[in-house]
Amino acid sequence: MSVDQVQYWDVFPKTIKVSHGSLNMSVPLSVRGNPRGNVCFDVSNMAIATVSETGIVSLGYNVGATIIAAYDSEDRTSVRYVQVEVISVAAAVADA
Amino acid sequence: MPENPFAFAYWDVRPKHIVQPYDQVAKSVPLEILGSPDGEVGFTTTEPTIAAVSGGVLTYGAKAGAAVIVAEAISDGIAASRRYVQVEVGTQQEQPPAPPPIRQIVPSGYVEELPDGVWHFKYFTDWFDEWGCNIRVQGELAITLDLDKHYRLRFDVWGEIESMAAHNHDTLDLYFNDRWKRNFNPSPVIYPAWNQPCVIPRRTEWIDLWEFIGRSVTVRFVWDTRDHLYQMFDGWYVGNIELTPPWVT
Repeated sequence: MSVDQVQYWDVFPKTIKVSHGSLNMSVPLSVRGNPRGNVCFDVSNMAIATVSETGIVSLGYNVGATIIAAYDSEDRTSVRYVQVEVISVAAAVADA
Repeated sequence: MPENPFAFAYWDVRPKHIVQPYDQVAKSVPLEILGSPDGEVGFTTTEPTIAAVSGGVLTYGAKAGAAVIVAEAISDGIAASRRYVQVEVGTQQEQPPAPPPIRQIVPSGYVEELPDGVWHFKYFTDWFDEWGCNIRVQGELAITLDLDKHYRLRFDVWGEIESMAAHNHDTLDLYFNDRWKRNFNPSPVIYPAWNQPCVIPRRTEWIDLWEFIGRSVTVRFVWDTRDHLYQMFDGWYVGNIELTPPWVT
């Protein structure tokens, strides 16, 4: 196998877990390796998180979980995933 | 030698993931930069009250919650690459155990609960004739269970009953609702003497309740001396009654 055949790429972090409640919370995703084209993003539940074209994840408004799918624009079957979770820590714990 | 397009400088930050219970105490840990970042590494956080980095030291623990620390290698004023630290404080709390599915325990007749929680299936003891006889007694311990999942009923059983026909007198039987399930009396024995007890050693019994998953059942321990003869012994005891998962032995 030649080096040219290797098309490793991935997106990081693979999981994002934050607490509910803070506004303007964002996490920039990081693409590593060499996708064929640009990396575009899709979110399964935009009530939980959104992603800008540049890979900035905005989240924290609603409690829940969602998956961010990162596609190689030149090969839509080449997908990477980020698990996003916005949690509500029990008030008894947070206020203890 | 041509430049390898896949070569890039390795760097990372440690620790990558911190999970701790919440104890209201702030903690600090220096973050370690491994390898060769593309530039100076700066840190941001999604929630500074949960986790923050200052001077390369991560502080967390004063507040419960989850946050992500983003470490960015800054080169020529832009973020050349990033690494991440996930912090979780008090998010992995042990869930309190589900309440046991015992709806109620109802003793009736000649059954009493001893101070140590053991159930005693007793005789009438106010008077005896010269043969240790008085009256026939009966009793029942009814335990109603709402079985949301698969359990086994575990308990210890032992006793001291009359030795004359101990296999079918002074009986202790187990029923599921009105259906007979098990008897705990000994096999027919040679009678030692009317005034000597038949001692049943303590043993642990297991009853599988698989057939009642998703339903309610009343487990009934039924005590009956069957006659009025030879009533001067201890009776039966049932203790350590508990429901266990089916894999517990």
